[in-house]
Amino acid sequence: MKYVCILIALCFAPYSFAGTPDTPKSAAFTANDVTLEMIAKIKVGDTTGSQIKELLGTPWRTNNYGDCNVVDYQETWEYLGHDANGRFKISIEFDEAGIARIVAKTPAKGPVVVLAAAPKPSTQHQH
Amino acid sequence: MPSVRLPLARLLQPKILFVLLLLITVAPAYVMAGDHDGDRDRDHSPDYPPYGSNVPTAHFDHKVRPQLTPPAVTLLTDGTGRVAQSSWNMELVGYDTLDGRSTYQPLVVRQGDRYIAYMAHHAGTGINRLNGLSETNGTSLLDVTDPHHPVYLSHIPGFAGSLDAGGNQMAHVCSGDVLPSNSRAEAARKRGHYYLLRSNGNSSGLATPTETQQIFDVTDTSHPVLLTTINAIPYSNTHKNWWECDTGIAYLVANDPTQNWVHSGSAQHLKIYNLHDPASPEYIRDFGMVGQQPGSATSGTCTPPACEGPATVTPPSGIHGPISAGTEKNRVYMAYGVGGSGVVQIVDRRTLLGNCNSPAACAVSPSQADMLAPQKGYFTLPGLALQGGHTSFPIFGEENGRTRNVLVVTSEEGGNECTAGSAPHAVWLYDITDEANPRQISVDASDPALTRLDVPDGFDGTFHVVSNGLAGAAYSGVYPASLTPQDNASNPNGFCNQGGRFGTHAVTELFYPGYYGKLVIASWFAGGVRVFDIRNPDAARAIGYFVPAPNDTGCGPTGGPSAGPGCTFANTGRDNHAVHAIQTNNPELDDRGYIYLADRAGTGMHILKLTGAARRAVEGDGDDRGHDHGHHDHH
Repeated sequence: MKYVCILIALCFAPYSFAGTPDTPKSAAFTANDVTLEMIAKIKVGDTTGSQIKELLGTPWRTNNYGDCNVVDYQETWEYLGHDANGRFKISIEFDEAGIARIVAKTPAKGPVVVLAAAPKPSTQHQH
Repeated sequence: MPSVRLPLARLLQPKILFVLLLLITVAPAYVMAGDHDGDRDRDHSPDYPPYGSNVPTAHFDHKVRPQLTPPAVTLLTDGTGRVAQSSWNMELVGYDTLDGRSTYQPLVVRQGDRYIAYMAHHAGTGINRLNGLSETNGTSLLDVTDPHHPVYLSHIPGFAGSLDAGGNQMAHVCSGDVLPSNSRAEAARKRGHYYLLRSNGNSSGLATPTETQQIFDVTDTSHPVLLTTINAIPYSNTHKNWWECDTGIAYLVANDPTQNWVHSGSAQHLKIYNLHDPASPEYIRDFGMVGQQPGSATSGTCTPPACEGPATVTPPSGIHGPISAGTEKNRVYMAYGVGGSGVVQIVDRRTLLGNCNSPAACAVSPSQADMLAPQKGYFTLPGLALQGGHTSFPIFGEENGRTRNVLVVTSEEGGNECTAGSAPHAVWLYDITDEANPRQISVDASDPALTRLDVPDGFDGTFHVVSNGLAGAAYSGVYPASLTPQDNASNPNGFCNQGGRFGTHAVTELFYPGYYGKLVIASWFAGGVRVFDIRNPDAARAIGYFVPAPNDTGCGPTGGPSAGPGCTFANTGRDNHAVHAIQTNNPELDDRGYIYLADRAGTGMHILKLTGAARRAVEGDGDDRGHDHGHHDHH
């Protein structure tokens, strides 16, 4: 009987490796609920990504278009928050040096509103 | 007939036992090795590129068909001035949010009896709906066997350790049953397996590159397993690869800064491998445009013989991506420049792969002669340096019984909201029957990019451009600084005030016989996907489009298609004008004719089918209906 058990175990051993997904082992992500007061502390043209992470925590979602062509503000971070009108979304767009250049709010309804913006570096638009 | 019964005792005799064991163990290996037709039949994958080398023959004609007028798009009713879902001779079949991840390339593979979509993402992070984790963008796998109801199977995360250094923008998949093998053991090991080749990371421009090319075993689509990393030394500038499944040859776009190749713009060229055994990559050589090899001039005017070739800038611009027509046609097409200084090169495949077997210096640091040997032809694009070579897709065909070969070429729009001074980036057709003398066809002298395969920025079907002041092939329309009235929802003038990019990017790359030589299907960022009828390649015409609506509410805090603030990222254009805009990045086909769209702004994956005149064009009837003005979808 012992040998039968060993044989069965050996047969199934490969599956314990084959099914291992290449994903980090951590808890499910919970997005911070940011406030407009926290957002107001971002100084466009000055605040870096790491400073924003200290201020607001890990972004809900990020994006970086950088690939075959340099584009305007290719890196964007997004945070979620609530106000009297419901859930809003904060978008922070960075320049190529990693400095926040635009902070925009998407309300529950209606168009995106730019809350703060700083002039772009003159090196943009080149590829 | 009397039955034959073998007593057990007789079967256990050593000689008979040996023969039986031999049959059981060896026979399957013989069946597998060297029987690729049988394997392909079992695999069900197509036999045309990139999966095989059986290139269809297009049948061009010279029929005069009326130029159709695309109907204007409609706008969302939310007062934002954004484009609503609009379509003309195309229809939405299915959709998935892709968890709001920005996506570059869609690839749909027939994998056994299923169709699997590999959606290759830009760098970024998002919530994986399957496990609730924030994961660095990589590759999403979906079962699209039923295109009406895509099923999200898994997400292979990208480069670990950073929020934004990830991204796996490119994907190719080959079946182990189609890849050739050097031994029966190799064939047996690969049998029934599928392999994903993907670029990994996004460190373009960094002094210390961190990028790789990875191969995953994706046989179990819910649990992909990393098989190998191709490059031991990190690359920079990985990009649009091509993998010939029937030969194993992979044309990888990348750069190793320590090898001193030189490029203008995007610093990348080809690193060619044989990946017939995905677990053991075999390096072949590096290649690019002559003038990019180590030791070439890096500035000034480069004239022959110092860098013989068609360079519009010194050194020549980097390659965006190659497309190989495989062993039968023996050609590889290479587009350089991406969004500017465009050059397209036609290369002899066998010479490319064969003239640098030894010595090693030829592969890594070829001479000018080594670089020129495979070149069969080249041409530059209209508008001098304003247009780049992004995609070059060959169409081998005939017209009236005589060979006629055509190349579809795109540039890439790289700026938001029609950057002042930039040209509208477009698609061109070139007749390459005489490879040494390619010539542009379907020319439209009134178009800013001198082509019939273009999309006006104005919703009224007009361009808002001025001349660059040059004549002939150097002429180009360019966008003026005064183009866009920002945030004027009551008077939106066109695609140039939609927040993101507007212009072409790429065309479908599957040699799908149903559409081959009939349609060009091109992504146009804010303009969605655009379809052109090229059955008469001298008189291409617009015949369909689909512009998806932005996803404003379909991505929630926990990922997936849950209620929330929406998947679409805001894009900022001129004067800090921020909009949730559609950014259709790449289109691709499957071998059923469905069209898949990937969105750069995180909107998700759209699955489409042709209708109306576009469908009739591929079915070969009723194609001359000048009254076809399409219809709109209102959502």
